[in-house]
Amino acid sequence: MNIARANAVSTLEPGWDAFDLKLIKILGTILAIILVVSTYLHFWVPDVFRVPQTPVPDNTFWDMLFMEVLTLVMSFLCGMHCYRNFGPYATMLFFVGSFVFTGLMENLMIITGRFGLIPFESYYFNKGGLTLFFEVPTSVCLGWFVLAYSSVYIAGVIFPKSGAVARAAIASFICMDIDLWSDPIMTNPANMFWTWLQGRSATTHVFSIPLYNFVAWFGIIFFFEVLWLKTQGWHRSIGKETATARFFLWILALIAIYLAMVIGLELLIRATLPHVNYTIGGV
Amino acid sequence: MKEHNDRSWFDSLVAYSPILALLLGWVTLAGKATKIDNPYIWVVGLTTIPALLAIIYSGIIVYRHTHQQRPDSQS
Repeated sequence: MNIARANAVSTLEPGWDAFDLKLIKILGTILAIILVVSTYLHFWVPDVFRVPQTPVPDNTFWDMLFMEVLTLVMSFLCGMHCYRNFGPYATMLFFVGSFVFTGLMENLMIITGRFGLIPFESYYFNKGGLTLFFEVPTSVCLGWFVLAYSSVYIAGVIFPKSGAVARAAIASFICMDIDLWSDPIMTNPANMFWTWLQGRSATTHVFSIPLYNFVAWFGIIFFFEVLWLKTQGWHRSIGKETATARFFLWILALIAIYLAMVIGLELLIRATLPHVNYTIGGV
Repeated sequence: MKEHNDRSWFDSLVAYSPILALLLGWVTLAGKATKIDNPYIWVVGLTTIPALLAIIYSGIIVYRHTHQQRPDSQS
């Protein structure tokens, strides 16, 4: 028996069928076009998205290349792991779904905040790689894929009998827990990977980061993973074409719902909680 | 080189990749934290202990599961 099959935690469907190949061509072409156009606009026509020109430390070509290659390698390995455990179709949905879901969510928060379309400014990325998915570095989107997949896998390993909702909740907690440390580090002036635009007196902060960010981290992983875990059986009952269309329609619906929830949450925090920065030793 | 159960080094790398990815992420964060002057950043880092324990524990489970498989269970 194949080792990969022995380690499978879900129903493995080995091999690519005609629909999988067609899907990867379509999704790959769309993503490639977006990445090329976004990267061109970000670096060569920054006025279109009003890209902030903030000088940041350690942002040379080689730094960006290293970041890009590192996330690509980890994404490839996690993609291979997902492929061996869940098959090509589920891997494609996870990869493109997490890339698009988290990427579009981040973009909507960044761009709507920047252009004054939501009641508050949010944040922007200073660095992170050579290519971009609109205004979010590709390495960040790949990082979301790695983080989301790794955490849901680990949750399944530790609690193998847990259902989709419990497993997604455990995975989301792991991700949020890591972000409690990563956001203060990455936004520190010594690193400046991204910059929060909300003043400390405008909303509640934890470790100098807006509180809603941590709740949003939990939610963004939770919603996507519940959707993906629930999707596993769809294509067997309704066919791959309908299942894929339904999956991406749910992605779009969740983006709209989730964006409204995040904005509502931040407004609620501003209205009800003290505008205090809860720190440990100034962090 | 072949490892236990005739798994190649690449198979082992893939099998542990979700755990390695999160561990690598944590180590990268620690590396970035060394650039920060405020030592309390390490106290804040203690908040990641639950996640770190979950990552390490899952690694132990995967290791045990891999090494419990009998070689004659493969074709």
